[in-house]
Amino acid sequence: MSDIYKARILLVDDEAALRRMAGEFLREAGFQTLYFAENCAQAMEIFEQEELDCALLDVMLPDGDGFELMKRMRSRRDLPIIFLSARDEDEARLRGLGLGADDYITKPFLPKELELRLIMVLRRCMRAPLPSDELVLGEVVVDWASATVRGPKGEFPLTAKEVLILKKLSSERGRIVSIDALCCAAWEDGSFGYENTLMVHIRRLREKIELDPSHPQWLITVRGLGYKLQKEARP
Amino acid sequence: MRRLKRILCSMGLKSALLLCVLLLNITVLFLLSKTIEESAYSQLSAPRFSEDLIKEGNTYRLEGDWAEFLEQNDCWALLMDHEGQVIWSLRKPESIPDHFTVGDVAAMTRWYIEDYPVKVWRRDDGLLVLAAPKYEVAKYDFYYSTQNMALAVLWPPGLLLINIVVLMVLSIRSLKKDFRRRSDARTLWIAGVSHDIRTPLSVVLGYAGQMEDNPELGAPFREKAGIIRAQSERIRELVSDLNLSNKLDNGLYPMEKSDFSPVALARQVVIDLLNREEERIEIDFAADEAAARLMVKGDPALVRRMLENLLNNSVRHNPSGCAMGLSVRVGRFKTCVIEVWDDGKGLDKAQLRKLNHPSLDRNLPEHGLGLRLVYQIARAHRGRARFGLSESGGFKCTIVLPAWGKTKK
Repeated sequence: MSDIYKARILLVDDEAALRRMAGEFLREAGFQTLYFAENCAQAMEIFEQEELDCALLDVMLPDGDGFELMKRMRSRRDLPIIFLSARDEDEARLRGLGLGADDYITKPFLPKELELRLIMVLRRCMRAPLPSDELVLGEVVVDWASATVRGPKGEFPLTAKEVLILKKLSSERGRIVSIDALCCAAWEDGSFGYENTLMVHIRRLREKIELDPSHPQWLITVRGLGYKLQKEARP
Repeated sequence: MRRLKRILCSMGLKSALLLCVLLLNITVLFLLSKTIEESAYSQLSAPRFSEDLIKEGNTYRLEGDWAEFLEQNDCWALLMDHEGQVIWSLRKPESIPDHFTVGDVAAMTRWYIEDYPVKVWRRDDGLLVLAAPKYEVAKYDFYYSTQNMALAVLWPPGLLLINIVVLMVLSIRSLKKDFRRRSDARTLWIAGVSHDIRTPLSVVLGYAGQMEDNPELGAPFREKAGIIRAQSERIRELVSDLNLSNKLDNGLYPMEKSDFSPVALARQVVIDLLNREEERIEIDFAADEAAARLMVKGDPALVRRMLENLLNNSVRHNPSGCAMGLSVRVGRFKTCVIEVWDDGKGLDKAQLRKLNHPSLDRNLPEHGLGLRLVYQIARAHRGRARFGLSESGGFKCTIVLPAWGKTKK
């Protein structure tokens, strides 16, 4: 499935007001197929009947806990699971034990948070391709498939490292990405020792995607912290 | 007295009982030694008696007040010559013979003469026999290996010491258990309350957030929704701060230690805040190359929380905006020094004192739990946090954490 918004999502929480609130919000966010359950029994019933794509589970349920429920679901079929937890103790368990959950959100959460986490998990698990195969930076277009940059200055190929760095930046477009995170993306290692190399790669990237590399318009340096790929200015 | 009562109450009934047992122990030992001391048999000293029994020609003269003593304590004495013939006696009962065989003498030295417990003493002119009233003492033929006898001196005090140690350990354990139970109860209570607050708060936060983002609502309504959202987020922070602070206080927080780079962590905290505030604020981040090589062993989630609390504190207490900064450098003895500062309002001396010495502050910290938590987290990492004023008169916090260096690749 390529459209994550068509995913069938089950929300299990014993608090009716929370189910209603989260349901309304997810619907507004574009998720069309939502199921609700208030306890483990109901959740399993829906799980048996429907081909679910993702489950959001509260940890404390009236007839059992979410961890048990996850085990029961996973024993039948593998599906992405996000926990909603209201206890710090659970957070420690979720963080430490690697129970196999895809993510967890601590209550209380902002609806935006829930949406972001859900989209990230769905994208990862459903292997949905990036929203577009191209990155548009004004007059310059980056084509991921062929790893080339086309623009007024001509066509340039991108090296593997440059693609990794640019992909990381574009996945968080508009937000600052730390030097460490970029190094991690490119070298799968800590930042130490690569910072200067990273600077070289950034300079070469700018030569390809910026019209005026010494006054970058898209790839902005945030001094001491990292880099940012500017969002497209809205008309 | 009231004080003692309070102490006993706080120690619990169990500990009081243990104390009583200890007192009983001492009393019994004391009484036991006293009883042996005061019996006539023990005061009847044969060598001294013998010294006072002086031969004058064919008769004997008893000096001192022995005669009186024998009278009062119903004791008697006799002296026999080397053949076993009694040559002198005082208050000797009639049933006692005037002549003793070697066998009689052998028996009496160990046991009794007709149930009279006796002591014997050898003299040049014979054998002195001193007897206490019948049945006054029990004599036992007692022998022991010489080797162990030396150790026997240590036994009574040793046993007493062991007794005391056991009692003390028991009472300390019961005290600790009491304390533990009370702090566990408090932790459970706080965890329970915070759990119960979180679900309804989710609903409040959720709807407030939705209303704030709804373009169909008028600006004033959206602004109000924004305020509800922001205040709910503060409650959320407070609840989790309260929980965490209490757990750190009682050593119940499960620290997940790993090695991490403080510079990378601090950088990410600053970036996350900038991204969240969508760059409405500016944070000056400084870390030199030496600092980039530092590694800290600890719980990164906690250290992250500590830095977030400090930065959030600066943002919240200076609503009209202020310059802020975070720096990481190598301190003395290869420590990691993290400084967070702003040029905002700052704090007065009394407030700083309370922050730097939380034990002096019996009330809830007035500056919120956030900064108290900074102190606790630094402590949990065997480091320290110091609150003060920045150069421009704003707030500054200096955190020093034990660290180690990573060699260059």
